[in-house]
Amino acid sequence: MGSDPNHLPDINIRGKSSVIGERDDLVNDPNQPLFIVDGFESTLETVYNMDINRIASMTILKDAASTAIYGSKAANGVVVVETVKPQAGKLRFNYSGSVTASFPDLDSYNLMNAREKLEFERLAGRYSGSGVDGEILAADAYNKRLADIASGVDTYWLSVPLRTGWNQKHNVYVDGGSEGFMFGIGVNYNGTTGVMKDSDRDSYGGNLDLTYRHGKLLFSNKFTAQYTSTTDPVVSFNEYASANPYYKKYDENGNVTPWLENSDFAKAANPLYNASLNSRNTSSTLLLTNYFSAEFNPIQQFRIRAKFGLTHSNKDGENFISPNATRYEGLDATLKGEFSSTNLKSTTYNGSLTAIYAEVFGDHRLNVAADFNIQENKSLNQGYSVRGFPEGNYTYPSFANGYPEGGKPTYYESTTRSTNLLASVNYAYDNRYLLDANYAQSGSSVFGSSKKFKDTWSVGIGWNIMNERFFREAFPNVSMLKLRASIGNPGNQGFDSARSLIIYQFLYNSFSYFGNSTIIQQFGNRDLKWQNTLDRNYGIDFNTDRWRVEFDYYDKKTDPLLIGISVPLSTGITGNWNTNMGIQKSRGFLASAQYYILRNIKDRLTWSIRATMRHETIKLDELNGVLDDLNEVAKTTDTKRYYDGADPDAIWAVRSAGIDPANGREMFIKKDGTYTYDYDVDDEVIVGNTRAKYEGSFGTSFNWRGLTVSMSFNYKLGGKSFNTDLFNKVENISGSQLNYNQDRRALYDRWQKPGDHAQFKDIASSASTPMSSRFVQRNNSLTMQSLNVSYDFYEIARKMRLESLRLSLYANDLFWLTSIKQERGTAYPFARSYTFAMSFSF
Amino acid sequence: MKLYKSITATAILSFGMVMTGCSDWLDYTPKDKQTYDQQFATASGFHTTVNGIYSSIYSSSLYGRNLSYGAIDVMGACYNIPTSNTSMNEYCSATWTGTYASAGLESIWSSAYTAILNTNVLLQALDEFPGVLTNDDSKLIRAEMLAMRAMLHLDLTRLFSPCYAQKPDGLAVPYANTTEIVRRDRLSTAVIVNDYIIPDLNEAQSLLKEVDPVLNGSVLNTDGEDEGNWFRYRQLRLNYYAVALLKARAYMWVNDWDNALTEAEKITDDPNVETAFPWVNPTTILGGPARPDRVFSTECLFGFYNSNFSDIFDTAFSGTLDPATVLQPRNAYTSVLFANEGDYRMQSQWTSSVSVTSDYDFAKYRGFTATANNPEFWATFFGMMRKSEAYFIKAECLMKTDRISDAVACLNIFRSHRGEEALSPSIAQNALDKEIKFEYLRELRGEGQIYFLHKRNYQRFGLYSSGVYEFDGSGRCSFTDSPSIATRYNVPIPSGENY
Repeated sequence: MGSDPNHLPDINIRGKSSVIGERDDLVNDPNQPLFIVDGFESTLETVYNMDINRIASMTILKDAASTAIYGSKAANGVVVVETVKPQAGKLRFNYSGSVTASFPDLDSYNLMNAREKLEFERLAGRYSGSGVDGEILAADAYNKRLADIASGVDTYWLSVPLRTGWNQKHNVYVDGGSEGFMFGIGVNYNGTTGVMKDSDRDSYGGNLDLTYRHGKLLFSNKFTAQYTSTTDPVVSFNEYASANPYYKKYDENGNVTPWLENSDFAKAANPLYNASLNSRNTSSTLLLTNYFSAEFNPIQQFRIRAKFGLTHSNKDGENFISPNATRYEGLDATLKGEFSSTNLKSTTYNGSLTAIYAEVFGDHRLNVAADFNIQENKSLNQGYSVRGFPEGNYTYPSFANGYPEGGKPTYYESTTRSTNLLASVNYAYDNRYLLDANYAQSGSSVFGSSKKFKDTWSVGIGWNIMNERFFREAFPNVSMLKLRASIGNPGNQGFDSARSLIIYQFLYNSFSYFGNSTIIQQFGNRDLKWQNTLDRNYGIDFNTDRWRVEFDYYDKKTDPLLIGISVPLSTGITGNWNTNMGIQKSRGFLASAQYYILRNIKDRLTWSIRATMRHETIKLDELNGVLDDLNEVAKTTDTKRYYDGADPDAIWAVRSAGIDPANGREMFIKKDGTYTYDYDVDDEVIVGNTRAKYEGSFGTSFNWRGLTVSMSFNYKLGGKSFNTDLFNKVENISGSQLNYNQDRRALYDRWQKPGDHAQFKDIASSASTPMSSRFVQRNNSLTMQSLNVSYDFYEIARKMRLESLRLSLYANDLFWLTSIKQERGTAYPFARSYTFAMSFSF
Repeated sequence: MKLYKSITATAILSFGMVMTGCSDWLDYTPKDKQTYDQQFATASGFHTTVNGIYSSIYSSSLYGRNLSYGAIDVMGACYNIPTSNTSMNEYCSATWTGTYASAGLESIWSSAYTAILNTNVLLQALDEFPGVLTNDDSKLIRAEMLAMRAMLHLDLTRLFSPCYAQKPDGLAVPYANTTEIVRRDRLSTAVIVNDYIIPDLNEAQSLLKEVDPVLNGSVLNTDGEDEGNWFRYRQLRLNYYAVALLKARAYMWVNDWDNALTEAEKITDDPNVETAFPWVNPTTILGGPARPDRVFSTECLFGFYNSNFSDIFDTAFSGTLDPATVLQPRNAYTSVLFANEGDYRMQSQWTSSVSVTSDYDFAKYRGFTATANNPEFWATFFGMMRKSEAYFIKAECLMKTDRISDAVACLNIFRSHRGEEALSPSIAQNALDKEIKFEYLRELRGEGQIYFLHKRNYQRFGLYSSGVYEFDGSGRCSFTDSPSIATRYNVPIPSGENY
């Protein structure tokens, strides 16, 4: 999705737990972690939109023991965010702001220029024509293009829709108050202009935090309101990338014309023209959240807390396509132009009651908690579209001719309800032996009516070796050495609520003497069960004043999986049937280490390096062939297969021995190792895996007095990828695809004459090549994610009577090195960005 | 301690309340969708579901075309299909794996099983929501739905099983009698008919015997007053007599002549049938009436409501259509089929054609302008089961059990209502056999039974032969055809089934 400001990233913390989970509009990605903000369940979007300065802490919980208290939704891990709380004392004014410039990064594109493209078309036989008329037509077209190129036409379309993107953020927060009553008020603005023209995002927000303490009672309330408006480009980046470079952007008079070419020979719309019309694609979102909590602390050991949270969001989308757009060419005027409106409302209530008892008896420390939580999430998606607009500035639905024939408004409601009853015990003996136990009973309306409740539990033990006397005496420098082990079964709820229902629909075209008719529209599985994950984790933490090391090994077994399978037609089901089937086993490790090369607290001088590494293996089992049908279909379209004992991320393809220099045809390697020209899907084998063997990040950070310099990099090693660019834009360019610009390698790396040792097939052939190992490439990459330089002005701040002042400069996505040459960001380009930020408070 | 006890008691009590409350609270049903529980909370919900099932089996993939005048009659060699008619040619050349035939057969299969799933859900709802319907209503729906399930399975069996006489233990189709989504094995023809189809039909029959209003002597083809139409229009429902015919068909398929005879006689020998399903009145068909009853609607035991009835002729049979799409027999076919030109069916169901390839168009489904206020019932009626078939079955069973003169007597009753002369009681058996088969061809064209007749008899037939049938001494057609009948009569089940 590139650096599209209006697109959220996909996030998964530690491997996926759903293999074939489909993703639908209203429901979260089934592999997404759970987000908790100030103790309330929240969304990725909220966290993504949050100003970094409002975040007091962010914790990522991975293993079953730490996620257990979040119950059945925590199988993919939990991200816990605490926002800043107002502080008592005199009135404090905090400001933070930043300015970012982003520059499109087109390095991954490798498109032909005008001369190359024309030559490629000629070699591919586009101008050979058929019949006398055809030959004349083709020759004319060729000569016209050749003449244009000779006159200097060579349009670099990629840069046409791009610009320098700017982002500015301002955030003001005022807090203060006495011990009994504290408040904080904030306002913020975040405005982005993306690197593609007409791609903007503006967000305004405010928040009010209040805390009131009276004796043993503590009340606090956090309210936020955020309004976001977005504009997306009407013409995708892809359309510019596919425009031929031998076309001029403007005609002789400098005007943008609808068609780059509209002749008997070829037809190509001008993306610049379609973008210049009054089409628009906009949305606005209002998000309101209120979190209230009351705490009662009758004695020191005992606390009761009640919380209530409410989140409401309302998103309106409008999409208008001008009647002048080239896509409507030749249509009746009453069908030209289209306006569609979508509205998504979502409301979440969340209430919880918690009781905590904590006591220390000598060497024993005990902490017991009980919690009851209920939640309802309601979302409603509505929309309609109308068509037939007059030309001119009539872009609103009141000007439309009518609804599309047979068009119906959409109305889709989804409500999920869940409850969670939890008991947890933490016990520590002498701060050496630690025990955690949690038990939760979670209920959800998501799963079949016969399986509403699920038990989740976890047990964790820990041993603080550094607190053992023998160890402390032997290794006084080790500040932490801890062994941990945990086991538990977190659940996962990211599935549609209606999937377990049988739903009827009316047949409107069928009336008889007996009145209305209804038939089954969806036959849901009433016995759908929760995905059940058993998560084991073993870890060790080791700290000295120079080293911080953490290592975790995990073993996750999901049994049963929830998957959509195809069933025999005699069941009466024609599409996919959601059921519980098969198991997935994944295991792997996460390691992180940080080493201080310099650590001089006195001079405030530190320099550290750090690195993380992640490795995982995944295996499916006990499918008993239920996905064979899916595998069969996939053999011609995809490289994924689902077999027992196999890795779902493995790449399956027939091995290729390359292109025969003698004739430009591809040679395949059969299962027995012999060579053949005949492609047979049954010869497919595993040729790699899309998941990197090792991936992680590394970086360094240097602090000296107020100065901080840090760098961070991401790496991926050992994975492979099916290069769809090579497959679609180099090898398999069909006759109609010649109308679009293509990858340069299609001209230089394809076989042309006997003796050519080429990577790709005969340039003159437009026959389609099947998927083979020839397109599977190593996918190793190194990304420099960020560079950050900042300075805290302690002395100057004091002189200016400021409490603090900080300036920073950082750059994102500086470079991307990869072993696979593949375009990234076809719908929206990637960008490098440079930010200047300032924050101060007084 | 007292305090602790009361705290514990309160905790247990509130825990219990919370858990039961939660269970109800979690039982959420969306408002924008009609769920199973909402659907079957009212009697009208049951009724609309029944309507939906009858309506869905009249889709073009089932009895609306494929299993009536379309694919199945093409497979039965009712038409002369040129190779230019790509979508139909594969059916008559038995190219089962061809693009069109395989897709068509798959749509028959999957639509039938989807209708069966709907039926099974409804049958389950009858058990899970007792008391919503009156007792009679509940019995009537159960009976009709059991018959529905049996009828669909029977037709799938006859389509996909091998000829019973050739291979009695050949595999037919799976029988889906629950709503469970599981893989079901194909059953042998004998098992599916005797152990599944017949028991379902038996139960339907005994329930209908108690509650079917048609047993009072009328099909009630008029709108009801205050009571509505639910117990009326019995020709549009699988009524008692339709179920008897289904049973007779099922027994015929497994060559059980005695039982088939018993069931056929429940129609031919019941005086109530002549009241409820009288023989067609010749004045409604002969002499060019303005609104002829070409489907002989009064005799139909079961059929469908079709508001676009006249479209059938205009889009499928009219000689004005493209020769590559029209469904027509070869030229001069009717002169062989109807030696007697005065036959009522020749007079009303065939009209001379403007086409160059055939002299007659099949006009059984030709519409007319109905009167606006009180349209004839047959203006929108597509007949699918008729009492004449019971006479054919009875005659054949009597003949097969060496009661030739009784067989002739039975067939002669029928012939007297078609303008045909009576057959001689001393007719040779093979001549009688030929006459019975000819009656199938004359009478049941467009209703999907002819292919089953051929297949049941493992009978050869020629596509372009000069005669329709020239039976040899063994009662088989003497023409050889290509491809072989083994190919014609062994239709593979769709690939979507063998996952």
